[in-house]
Order: sequence, then structure tokens, then C-alpha cells
Amino acid sequence: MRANKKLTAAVLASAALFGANSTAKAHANLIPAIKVGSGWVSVVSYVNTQAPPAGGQVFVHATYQVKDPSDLTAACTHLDGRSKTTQNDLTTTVLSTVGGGFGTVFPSTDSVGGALITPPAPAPAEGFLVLENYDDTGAMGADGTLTSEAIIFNLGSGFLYSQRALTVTHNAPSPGGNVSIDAPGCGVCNYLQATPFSAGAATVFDNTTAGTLSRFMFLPPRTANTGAYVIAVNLAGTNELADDLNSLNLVTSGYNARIRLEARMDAAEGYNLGVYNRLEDFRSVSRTNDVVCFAQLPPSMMVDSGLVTFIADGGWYNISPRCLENEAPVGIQVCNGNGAGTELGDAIVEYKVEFASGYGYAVTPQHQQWYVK
Amino acid sequence: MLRFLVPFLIFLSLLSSCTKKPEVKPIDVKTKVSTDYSPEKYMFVKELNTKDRVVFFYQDQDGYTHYYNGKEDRIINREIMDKYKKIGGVPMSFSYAFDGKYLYFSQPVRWGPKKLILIKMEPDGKVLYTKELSSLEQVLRPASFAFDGKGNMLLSWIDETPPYVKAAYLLVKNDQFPEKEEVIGFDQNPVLSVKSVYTSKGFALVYTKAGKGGKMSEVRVRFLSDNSEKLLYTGNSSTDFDFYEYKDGFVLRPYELSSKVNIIVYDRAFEKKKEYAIEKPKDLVNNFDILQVGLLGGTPLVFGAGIPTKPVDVEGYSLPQRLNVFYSYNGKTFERLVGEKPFMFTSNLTSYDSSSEYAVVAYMDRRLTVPTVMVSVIDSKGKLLKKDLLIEKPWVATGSPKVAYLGEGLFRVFYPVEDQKEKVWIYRAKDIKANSIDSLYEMPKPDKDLLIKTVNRYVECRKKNDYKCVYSMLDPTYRSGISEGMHEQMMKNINANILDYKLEKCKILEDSVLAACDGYIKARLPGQIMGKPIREQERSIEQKIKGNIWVYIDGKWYYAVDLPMLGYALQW
Repeated sequence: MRANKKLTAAVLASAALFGANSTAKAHANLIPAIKVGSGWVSVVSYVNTQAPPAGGQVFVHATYQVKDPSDLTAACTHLDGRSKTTQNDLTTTVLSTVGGGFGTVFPSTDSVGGALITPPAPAPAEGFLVLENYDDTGAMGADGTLTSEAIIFNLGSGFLYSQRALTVTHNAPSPGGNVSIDAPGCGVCNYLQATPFSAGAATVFDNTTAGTLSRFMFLPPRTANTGAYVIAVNLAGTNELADDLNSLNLVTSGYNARIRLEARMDAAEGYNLGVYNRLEDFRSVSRTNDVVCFAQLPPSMMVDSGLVTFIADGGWYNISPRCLENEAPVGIQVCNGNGAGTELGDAIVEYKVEFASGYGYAVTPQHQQWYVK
Repeated sequence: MLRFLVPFLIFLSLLSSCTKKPEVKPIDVKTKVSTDYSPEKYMFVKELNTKDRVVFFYQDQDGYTHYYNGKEDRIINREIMDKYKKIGGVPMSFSYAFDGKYLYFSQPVRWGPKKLILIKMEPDGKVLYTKELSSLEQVLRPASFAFDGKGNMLLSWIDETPPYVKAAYLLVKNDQFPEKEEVIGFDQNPVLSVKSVYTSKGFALVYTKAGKGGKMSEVRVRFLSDNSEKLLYTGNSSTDFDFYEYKDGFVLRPYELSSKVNIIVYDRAFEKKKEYAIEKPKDLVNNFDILQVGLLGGTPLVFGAGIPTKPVDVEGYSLPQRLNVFYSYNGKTFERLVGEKPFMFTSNLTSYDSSSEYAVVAYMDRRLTVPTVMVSVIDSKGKLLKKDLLIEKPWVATGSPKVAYLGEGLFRVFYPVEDQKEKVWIYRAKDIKANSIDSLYEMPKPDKDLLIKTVNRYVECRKKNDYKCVYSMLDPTYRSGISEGMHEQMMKNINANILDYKLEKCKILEDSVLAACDGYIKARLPGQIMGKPIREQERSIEQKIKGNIWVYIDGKWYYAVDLPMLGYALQW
């Protein structure tokens, strides 16, 4: 009992600390997919509108999280560093070489608007990039003072694609800071949370609640390859005796947030595991996908191979994430609240990625998160 | 001299007879179904297929269902479909049953509400009656049928009329239809699956009572003679089941998120005879699904498909593993059904049938990149005798296969094939002897010299920014989605000056249709890309290239285009 009291006191102290931190939140940028090496080049542009303090400087801090995206349950390799910038500075920088190491993140010759970073090996380095701005007093850039986007192309094939960053929350300047995706309704922090959306409330998501699931529609498998690109997000519980041990911080070393994705039907079918065809009929399924850090889920994992006839014209299901719980029962649980046997709202940033005969390549966000200003 | 020559000639003749591919004459039924439309909407009528006759249903792009009786093609639902099409009706999934004398075809049609169409037919396709069933208005599934052999039948289906999803059923006695269907439904537990059966206690319904809000799900049987019920299975996620009927009873495989596959064998009174709990492959537990369950020689034969979540090293290159078909016999551990390097290529969607001696399994395999119909043969002891037998010519586009045992050791493999000239689907049957069948076609051997020539040509084209040439050498799937003009525009947007480009050390991976090359690229980026200025010191790029993938399709090598966030456009 005494131990429990001590623990409770510690939890409260920690909550107070986090509570204090939560008043000092700002926005960082998440570029979800970059690719560098083996013919791939990513051209990243950013704008900083944060003014430096009197006599001081403003920095842009970059963190890469990369891995082999076909290794679904591997943690990411991390590399980060920062460069000076100035107010209203629009900088474009080319990421073309992998194999960077600590201390080589920004060239020492940079003064203003420096080259970003050399992503870690191996090539091609695939993963996500987080950008933050802050000044040398440790004050974070105000909301909307950092914007970024990327052009990604392959010199060998000639394929080219571009994307805009999402907004995420940072609590303190990196390194040592914390960048996360918050639930909605948390004051000045991030506006929205990743999939699933909780109808504007700071609620958790639950496999039995209609507003908290993301619908994943897919085309006829015969003519389209439909995969998914997923970044797992781990949120801290505010009332957990022992939160799961995986990374909460998007810029931490060895980022290993884990999420399990399930295909679930909707309310009438009790949100049980299953998939619908285009004509409202449904079939049960019994396969799930685990993702650590981020992953590229191939079509064979997203569109059930045993149901080719049933989904010949395409279909849909709810993407339902499940969370890793560290209190009994330990394991993957419904993400519907704090406390033992359940886990508060871990989430995913997820894109549906299609390549279809006739109209080509399409990337559709499945999450509810905002793009940067 | 003759002493040596004669044996030599005999040896040559034997050798040629050994390597000669068996000739199997296909039975083709040409349709007017456009290749733009899915050919998967067909039902093979196993009971009426014979050596000389192919019988099946298929749906065309106008929503009509055709019945091919072995000689002629008839539309069986024109009138009723025209009636519903006028009010915006579209046909849903279909089912059929044969009671030994007549065929029954069922299909819901949706125009807002949904009704169930039932058609009774002679085996030659002559329609005896067409009924529009259900007083409820949201029929989701075609009917499941059971017959008692005395002219009576039980029809059941799923209906989602609010407030809950339920099973509906009709007991039809000598073609006399009750006015209204009965239902099995629960306010808090949707009934997601139902199956009509004829047991030693008369007609019965096997159905699921799904858990809601984290409650357990159940599979139950209700005997209609006295409305008594029996709980067959309870589980976390057992909202559906595979069901297989055999002479002495039934086999049930409840769907379950678990590390084991549970299979229960019942007699005809649903008394449990045997139970199996088969471990899923250890590295595939959550990524493994059951495709089909049945019996071979009285013991369960189970097929599943799974995909490992770790990449695999193939001759020094890290490649993602692919979905593969596995089988388990008599409760033993699952084994891969396909051969070669199964982790490299997808195989899925299994159909099988068995005689007393063999089971023949057909599946779709992507080792030629285009899904290809292949079969494996398993003997009555569950031993995999033959695998990866090529049933269709390489690189011909096909749909999913079905297998049926025709008797006298003969199995029929039935599948749709694209008529590339006329852009219509053909339904094709090939009859094979399980004991002597071999691949009907040679597995292509990709040409390494051609690979090197092709790669070198590509490199030269790329260095010259020859858009047309580069585009022509990109894989066909990519080109089916991105036009030449679009690709040219992308290359123009990059506008890089390729100063040096080498793709060397190309090797064919594991004798497959994939090859990988390593190399080097040196380029000078333009002063700006899509309006964004590039700093002078960042314009020069030098990169090593590792594992640039090439793919061999129908006699040519192509550059396999890799896409951000998806992997390759062409999925193999």
C-alpha cells in the first residue's frame, strides 16, 4: 500500500511536470516519407518565420527516422542535428547522400539556411523527417512559424513525387525535447490527432465507437495495387501506473512505437473483424498487421487474398489500431482509456497508397491530422 | 555400329518422351464479358460437370447471369433483372445448389431495399420458376441451401433490416413457400453468418452470435424440428466459420484470432467426433488466414496463407517476403504448398478437390509476375507429391481457378482466361490425371545476355534523357498507370544531367524472373527543380546503387519502377 502511495505521488508529480510542460507547446513539422540513396533524392524546402531573440539565433532542427520499410516490426535508426536560420528564410536543400553520422548532420560551414542532414545508412534511407524551430534561449517557434515540403525523385527511373508536411507538437527543443502527436482539445498544442479522429473531443479511441475509426476503401484488386504507409504513434497515458515502454517521442533514438492494425466492420456488425464489398455485404477476416516505427504494408496485407471473388469490385473496412498495454493483461489491447488492461489512444499516421491501371499513383491520407500552415 | 546406334536411338526417344510436356486439350467457352470487367463472378457447377460437359454460371457486365449448360449459353434472369434495373437495381453475390434433380440459383438485388431472387432450373437451364423472396427488405447474402431428398429444402440468408443484423430462413415443402420468413436475431449480438444443413435430426441452421463490446462470440446450431440449440464454439472473434459437409457429418472451422486453427469434426447429429488445434506457423501467427477447410481420406486438410513481416536476404539483396499458401493435413504443422523460393513470390487463393487417392490444389502464383494458375498434388496420406505445375501458358492473364474431381482419376481445373485479341474473357477447363500430371508448360528461363543488353541500353537512354526509350523499358504495370507524356513531364521536372550511370554485376535472383543490378550514378541537378533553387554545392550528386530490380516478362526485361510509400508498381 505504501509502495502504491509512493507510486501515486510519483505519478502525480510527473503529471504536474507534464502539465507544466503542456502550457509550452508548439508545432513541429512531420514530412512522412523521404527517400535517399540508390538513385533517390529528396529535395526539402522549409520556411521559418520565427524571429530570433535580441542578439540571438533561430535554429531548424531535423530528425530522421529510417529503416527497411518491409521489415514491419523493426525499430527505426535515428539521426538528428540542427542548422541556423533567420526570420522569413525559405531554404531548399538537397538530401542525396546516405551514411551520415552524429556530428555530421549539418555542415559546419553553414551559417544561414544550411543543408539539412545526411540521413543514416543503409541506402536507400526511407522513413520520416521531423523539423522543429526554436531559438538559442530554448524558446520554441510559435505556432505556424515553420512550414516544409519535399520533392522526392529517382534519378534512374525518372519518377517524381511531392508532399507537404503535417503538423505535430513539440514540448521542448530537441535534442532532449519531445515531439508527439496529441489528442485534440489540448489548448495551444497540436490541433488534431492522428487516426482515428475522436470527433473533436480529447477522448480515446475504441473499437466499439463509430467516430473513432478510419474507413479504408480499396479498388478492385485485379486492376489496382492498394497498400498503406503507416507511422505508429504512441501516446502517454495520464493515469497509467506503467505506460508501455515504447517510444512516445517521434524524435527519440530507436523510435519503436508499436501498433496493431485490424480490419473491422461497422456498428451493425458490432465492429467485429471483417471487410465489406461494394454492395454492403461483409465477410469476416482473421488477420492483423503489427507495425513498429513505420512500415510499408503491401497490397497482400491490406486487401485480403482469400476474398478475391467477394471483393472483385473493391470494398472497404475500418482501419482499427490497437495499442500495446504494459499493465495486466499485458499485450495488445483496445485503445480505449487509461488504467490497467487498457491503453490510452495510441494512433497512426496513415496513407492509402494506390497504383492502378488507367490512373496511376495516388496517395490519400487516412488520418485526420492537419497539414502545416 | 548398329549395336551402339540402336540403344542410343532408344535412349534419345526415351529422353524426348520424358521431357515432352503432356498435351491437355482445353475446353473453352468464349463469352462477351469485357476484360475491363472482373471475371471472378462465376460459379462452377461441380455436380454437373463431366468429361464431355462444362457447366457453370457467370455474370456479365450488364448484370445478367448466364448459365452455360455444356452446349449453350442462356441468360436466366433477364426479365427479373430488367424489372429491377429500371428502378436502379444491381445484382449482389450469388449462390447455387443442386438437389440431385434441379438447380437452384439465388442472388439478392439491391435498389435501396434488397430482395432475394430465387430461380429453380432444369440442369439444361430451363427456368421452372423465379421468386422474389423476403418480407424483410435488406437481404445481404444469397441463400444457403439444404435438402432432405424428399422434395423439401431449407433456405437461409443474412438480413440487415434495422434494428439488427439477423439470419432469416424459409422452410420450403415441395415448392410451397411460407408467406413469411422466420428469423434468428438478437438485439445486442449480430448474426453475421448462417448455413443451412440437413442433419440426422432434420433441418438445422448453423449460425454465429457475434459478441459486441468485447463480449465473446458463439457458433451455434439450431435444430428446426424442435427449435433446440447447441453451442458449438465460443471465442473472441468467432464471427464466421468455414463449413464442410461430408458423407458422415460436418467439419467446422470457426474464425478466430489465435495462434491455433481450431477444427471440429461432427457426425450428422452434431455430436463431436474429433477436435484439432493446429498451430499456425510461428512467424506468421497474426499474419495468417485460413483459405479453405475440407477432408481428405476422412481427416482434415486445411489451407492457409500468410506473410512474414521480415524481409529476406536473396543473394545479398534484402527483399520483402510475399504471401504464400500453406497446408496442414491431419492436424500436423502447416507446410508450404509451393516450391522454388516461395518467399520471393506471392501465391494465394486455393481451390481443391479430392478423390480417394489424391487431392489436387489449384492456386494463383505470381512467380511470373502475372498471376498464373498452378496446381499441386497431395496423396491420401497428406504427402505433397507434386507442386508448381504450370496449367496455363506463361504470362497469359487469368482469373481464379476452381478444381473438381470428375471420377476415374480425372480432375478438372477451371478458370477464366483473357482473350487478348478480342478483349473478352474465356472460361477454360483443363482435365488432368493426378497420378501422371506434369507441368503443361515449361517454366521460362530468363536470358542473362538479354538482361545485360537491355540494362546497358537503358543506361544509355537514361544518360541521353531519351524519354521515349526510357519509358518503353519501364515495367508494364507502371506504364499501365502512368502515360508516356506524364513520365516525360516528371523527367523534365527533374531535368538532371546524368553525367555517369552504370548498372553492373547484374544477376538473376534464384533462377527467377527477377534480377538485381548494382551500380553508380553521377548527376548534375539543374539550377532549380520545380521552381525551387538548388544551391550550387548541392547540384552535384554521386550515389552508389544497390539492388536495382529488373523483371523478365514474356521474353523481355524491364526496369521495375519503385514508388515511394508503396514499393514496386509491379507486385510479384
